[in-house]
Amino acid sequence: MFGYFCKRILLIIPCVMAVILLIFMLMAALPGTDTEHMVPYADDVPEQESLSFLQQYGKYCWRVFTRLDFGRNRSSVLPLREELLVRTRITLRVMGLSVLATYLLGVPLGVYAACRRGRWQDTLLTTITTLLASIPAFCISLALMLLFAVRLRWIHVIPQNSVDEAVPVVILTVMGAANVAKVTRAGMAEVLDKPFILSLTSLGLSRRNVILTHALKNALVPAFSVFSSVCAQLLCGSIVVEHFFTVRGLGSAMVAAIRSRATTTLLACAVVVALIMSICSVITDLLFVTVNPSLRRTLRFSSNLRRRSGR
Amino acid sequence: MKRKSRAFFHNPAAVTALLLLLGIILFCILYPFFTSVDYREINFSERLQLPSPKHPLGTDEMGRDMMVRMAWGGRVTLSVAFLSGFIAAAAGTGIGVLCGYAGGRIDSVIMRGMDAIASIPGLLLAIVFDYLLGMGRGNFLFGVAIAGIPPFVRLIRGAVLEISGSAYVEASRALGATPLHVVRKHVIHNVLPMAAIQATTSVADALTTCTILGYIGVGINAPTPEWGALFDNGKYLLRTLPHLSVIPAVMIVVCIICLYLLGNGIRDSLSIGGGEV
Amino acid sequence: MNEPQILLDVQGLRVSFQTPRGSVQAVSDANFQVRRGEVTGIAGESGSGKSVSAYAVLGLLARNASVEGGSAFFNGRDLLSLEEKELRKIRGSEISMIFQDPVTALDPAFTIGSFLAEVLRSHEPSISRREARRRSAQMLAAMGIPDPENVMSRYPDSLSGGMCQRVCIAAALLCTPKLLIADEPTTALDVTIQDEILSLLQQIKEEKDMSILFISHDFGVLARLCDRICVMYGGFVMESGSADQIYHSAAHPYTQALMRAIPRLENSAQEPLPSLRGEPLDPVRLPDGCVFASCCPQCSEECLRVRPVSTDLGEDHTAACHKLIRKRKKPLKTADSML
Repeated sequence: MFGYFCKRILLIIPCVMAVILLIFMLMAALPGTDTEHMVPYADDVPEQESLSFLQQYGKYCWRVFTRLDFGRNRSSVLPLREELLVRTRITLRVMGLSVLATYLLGVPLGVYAACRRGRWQDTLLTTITTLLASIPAFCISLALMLLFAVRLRWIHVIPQNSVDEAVPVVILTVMGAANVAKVTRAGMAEVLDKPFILSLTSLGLSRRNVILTHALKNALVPAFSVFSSVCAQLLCGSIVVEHFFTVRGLGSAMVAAIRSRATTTLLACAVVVALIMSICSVITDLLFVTVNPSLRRTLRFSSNLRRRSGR
Repeated sequence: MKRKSRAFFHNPAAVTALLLLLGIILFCILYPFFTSVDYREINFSERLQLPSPKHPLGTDEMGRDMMVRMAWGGRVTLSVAFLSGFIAAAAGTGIGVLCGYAGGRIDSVIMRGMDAIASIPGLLLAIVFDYLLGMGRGNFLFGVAIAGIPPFVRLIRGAVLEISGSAYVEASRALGATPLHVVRKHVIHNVLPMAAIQATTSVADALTTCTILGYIGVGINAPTPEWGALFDNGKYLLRTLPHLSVIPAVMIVVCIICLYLLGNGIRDSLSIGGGEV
Repeated sequence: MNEPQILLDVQGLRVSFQTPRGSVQAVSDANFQVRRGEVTGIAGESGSGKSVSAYAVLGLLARNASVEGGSAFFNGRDLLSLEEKELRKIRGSEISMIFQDPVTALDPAFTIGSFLAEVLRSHEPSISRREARRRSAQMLAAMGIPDPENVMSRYPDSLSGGMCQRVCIAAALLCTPKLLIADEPTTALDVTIQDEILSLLQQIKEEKDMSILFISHDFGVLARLCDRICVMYGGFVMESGSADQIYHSAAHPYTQALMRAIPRLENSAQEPLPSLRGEPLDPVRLPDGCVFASCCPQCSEECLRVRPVSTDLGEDHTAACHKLIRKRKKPLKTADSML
């Protein structure tokens, strides 16, 4: 168990390195890329240009992993690291809070819908969650802003206090919770049809106990298996929401980098995103093992838990 | 098949959705032909107007007619959405059938690749493609299409595995049916409706990604309108002229709802229960 | 008092299912009893309503099913009219149930030990953790499971089918119920394991003086265990009587046909087993007359029109068939004319 997760955590490094390599290669190979922008270090350009592709790659990786040094842009004086740290912290705070809220809201909603399956409550919830999960984040943002900022005037269109700062979290939570509720409902509905539910009921366990302990623990497996895709969804969502609320987070840094074609920043953002996603993937596996004990045994033989469980 | 299509046309929600979607598409295609106003025409004397007979949806901050811009934006957004959705559907169905039917090493290699693609958020994939292939030329379309492939492959592959393992296929194979015959007769026949349902989802997803890209200003370059970009334009006037941002948003949401209802209608007419994760 | 008392008395049970095709009458006016210390078997083909009757008694029916009438008296209380809360107290502690597929009847996310402890604690909340563990281990050992401590720390998917069924039986017996309902408990198991489980049930019945309601389609299994058998077809009880009466002097044409269809060693292998002709029953549209009429070799015009009622053939042997009603009537008439 412990050894497995140590290995998983160490595997993050080659994963991120692979992402960097992929982007380096794409930049070198694809037409339309301005090769001048490829040089990640503006301060030692002459030296950079004399290096081969692999040497550049190795140097970049070494600096990133040992000093978190992402270089700096030609246009700016400050090294990227400081700016990225601040921005990543902002994005991670919003994302972390909304991931937490997503599960706290989505799982109960999914369980409720599954317990009412076939009735109007279920139909209503399923329809709403399916739509919310597929509508772009800015449409949800707009609806919330029209309601709370323009009509009710509870919050400001341009963030001014801590309540306003919570709005992005709310929007991301609505999106994520819709997705989690959908998956939980499907998983729960499947579990509720399993024979052991009947057998536990026949042994005199209360309905509450059967649903909240036994069915839920089984239904959490699919719910947690989408953990990393929910994180990815919220990360993408945060790009949109940051743009909507002009939050200076990782997402807006990325958009700005694309618009100004600041390759160094974009590469750095990609590394940070890859890092976040890898960590999310490790957390997914960890959550998985806590809810599904039978996976502990298969752990030693399988490199990919989620594939095993048939998701 | 006839019975199924009749079941579809007896579903009021699905038929309404289909008609609405066709209506929106027709409007986007035809409206620019019936009006003399150009979508690029800047007229500062008529800026920020409320809807009027001359400008049915008002004008934006540069005095450009919103109605024409919506139609043009729809052309761009919907063609990108449908095109990338269909690319994803075609490629996904093909790869899925191949994986499910070939199995073995080909299958595991392709599925690994699909896992890798699926682990990258679709929006980022689209951004990267757009950035690397040259921006403002709609190149993100390929990114959107590629991001839509893995769910297709998984669905189709699963279905193919189930079908080719079923007794009637085994029986037909035992009677001497060639692999090609099995694929044509049994597999494609059973898989196509599922692909149709998934296609509505993937078009909706592509629509979402496309509008988001337009919204953050990455997709199509400025003078060409796009629903997401139009929304972004109007956002700054949320308090005074909310219709400038509400109309594109409503159009996007309506299209997505229609696609969802359409998919549901197909699913119901085939009575394929559950299975949507 | 030699006469065994009636522990569970089901009278006039009617259950229907709402399906897209319409309402399906799964059980119609079923009567059966379970006596103290006896094994009652319910026999019938799939769809005959045998499992549904048992589920109805414990209030475990699916959501699209409803009990439309009848009573099921157990210890002086009608189970069908009890509140869910009351019924919950009875389930597991007074009436338990074991199921067809033991592997899926156990929650895969909990160890056997915590599962058994939970069953105990849900009926005896004051019991200590250690005591619960001790009693679970004791019960597992009594079910013939070697090394109960090891089994208790394991998850169901690492146990064999036979082992799982033993665990299920242990869970069912943990709170010493008076009645055990066994819904085809051996159907999903290998023949050798089947035999072991049947011996175990036999042993439990004798040691604990327990009543068992045994549901099966397999007359061989029923013959081994049952004191009384009740034969169902199309939701109706066709015939009920002691195992001996059913096997040796079956009165109903359906039961007779079933008996002829059991392969016997003394019959030669070449001789084909007799089969019934006629159409299978459509559960949505039950016929006006006898449900078995369309397949019955002795069907008369009356059978197609009127539903036969259950007739007493003496010595607790009843059957629902016009042929038998006519037979019964004749001697009665002669008795009348003699007066």
